[in-house]
Amino acid sequence: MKKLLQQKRRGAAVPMALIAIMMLLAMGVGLLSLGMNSRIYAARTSSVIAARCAADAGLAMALFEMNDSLGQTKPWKLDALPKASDVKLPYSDGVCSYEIKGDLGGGYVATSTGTSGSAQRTVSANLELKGLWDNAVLTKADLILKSGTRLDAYNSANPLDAVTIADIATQSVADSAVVLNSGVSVSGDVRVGRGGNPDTAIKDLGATVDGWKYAMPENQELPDIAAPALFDMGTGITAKGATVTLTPADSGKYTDIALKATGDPGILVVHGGDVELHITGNIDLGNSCEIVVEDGSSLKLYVDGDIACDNGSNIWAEDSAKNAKALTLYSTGEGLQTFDLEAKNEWVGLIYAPNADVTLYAGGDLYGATIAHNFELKSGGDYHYDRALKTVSPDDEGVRFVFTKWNEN
Amino acid sequence: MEMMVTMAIMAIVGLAIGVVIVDGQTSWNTMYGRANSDVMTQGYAARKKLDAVVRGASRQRFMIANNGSWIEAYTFESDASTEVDRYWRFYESDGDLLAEYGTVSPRATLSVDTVCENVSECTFSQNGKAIQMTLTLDDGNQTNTIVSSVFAHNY
Repeated sequence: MKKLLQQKRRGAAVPMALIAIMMLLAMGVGLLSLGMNSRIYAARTSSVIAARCAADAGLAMALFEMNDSLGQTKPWKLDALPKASDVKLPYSDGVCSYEIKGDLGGGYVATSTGTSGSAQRTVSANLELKGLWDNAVLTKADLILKSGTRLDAYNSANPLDAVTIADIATQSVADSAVVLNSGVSVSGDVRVGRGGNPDTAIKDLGATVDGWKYAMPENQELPDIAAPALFDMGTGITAKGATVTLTPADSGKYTDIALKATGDPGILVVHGGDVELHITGNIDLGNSCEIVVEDGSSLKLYVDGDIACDNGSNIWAEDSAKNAKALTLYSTGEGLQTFDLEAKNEWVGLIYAPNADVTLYAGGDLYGATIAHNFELKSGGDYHYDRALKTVSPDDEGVRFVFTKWNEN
Repeated sequence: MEMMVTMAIMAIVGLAIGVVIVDGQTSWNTMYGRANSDVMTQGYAARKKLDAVVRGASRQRFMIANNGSWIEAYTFESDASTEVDRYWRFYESDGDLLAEYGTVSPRATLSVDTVCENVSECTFSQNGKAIQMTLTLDDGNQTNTIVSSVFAHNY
């Protein structure tokens, strides 16, 4: 052993230890590298998600500003398009910048850039105005169509428009919320409330549906429409066996409308332009009495009470192009109202009554659109949805901007 | 004697180092597999594809099978489109997640792409304006379940 230790030859212990140390070092570096790469990947992924959320939030802010401006002035006027830079988002390290460009005629485009850490994402979308009238008939609860009704579409603003698709919908998910009696034909979709089961919510008694039956992803918001501030006349409108003519100068707030027949029917004629009436009470049409909106005129009725039509009475908009805006009924009362509407011949008009049970009797076809709490089409011909209602202006009731054509990088 | 002790110590240390190295390598392989295996990358791909489609889809209409086995989302072909004119249908078939793309009217299929393979289970559900996909991928060695929720922004 002593001899061995006295040898001059170099040993291998130190190189072996070095090799072992190098191997351990390489393995450690590999593990650290893998861990670091995973952490970098996770950090980068979370930064991208945060940046994208920030960009989304920027577009939401821009949309909110646009919608907030609606209804503040009539006619609608926007002093400056929404624009902001480096908006810090609460409870996040995300920052967003957004801007809207364009105009009402050519359309608006919103662009938003979100930043989080080193990640940046840009999203953009077109903004379009949407109105209340996306469906031929929309109810909060029950929707009943009489046997044999054909439901389709026309376009009062463009007779060359050949699209006949018209949808009906209920926001209810209750069983048999939609009753399609035998022979009913719907040229579009039949939708039920969010989360509903179309198989149970639609009672199909032999109808034909050209489109789909499905549950809406979201229920359309049905805002309360308030009557405009009109001059308070302090009286009602009464016609007993006579004809009363209203012109735009007669627009105002009235207590009620009572049309009675005394040998001759009581008739209310809207003439000479656009008339707006706020009726704080009820509207009663006696036997054979009429409300007639002459061609070239229009009537907006804001009704706080109920509408009752006796036999043979008639609410009629004479508009030759079947422009549904010739007659618009709004339910503006508190609590549930009742609109029993009757038309001797055709019905042309819009009914916005999410707080009213609407029953419609007509002698001919029906043109326009309806929003009601409950709706029942008792008699009449076919129901035609006016596709011109899809074109709206910022001054229309209940309009709002929505995103279309969402793009992102 | 000292030599014997030194060699014994070296052997023990060497063995320990070897065990550590082998164990480390095994762990590294496992971790690498978890981060980069097919079922992981395919899961990312499926999530990205659903994201890309549904974020640009119309939220007015989703069609979902009663049992959640497929979903159909509707999109715009181009800026010139005034109404939704294209559909994307996601469904599982023979262990693949497929994305079918086509025109709405007339109904015609333009393409069918395989989004990912190794699908053992895939269900879709809807929560308001968001679509949720629960996807389980299994390649026999590893299982990966991802739950992805996507919000549709277009009206």
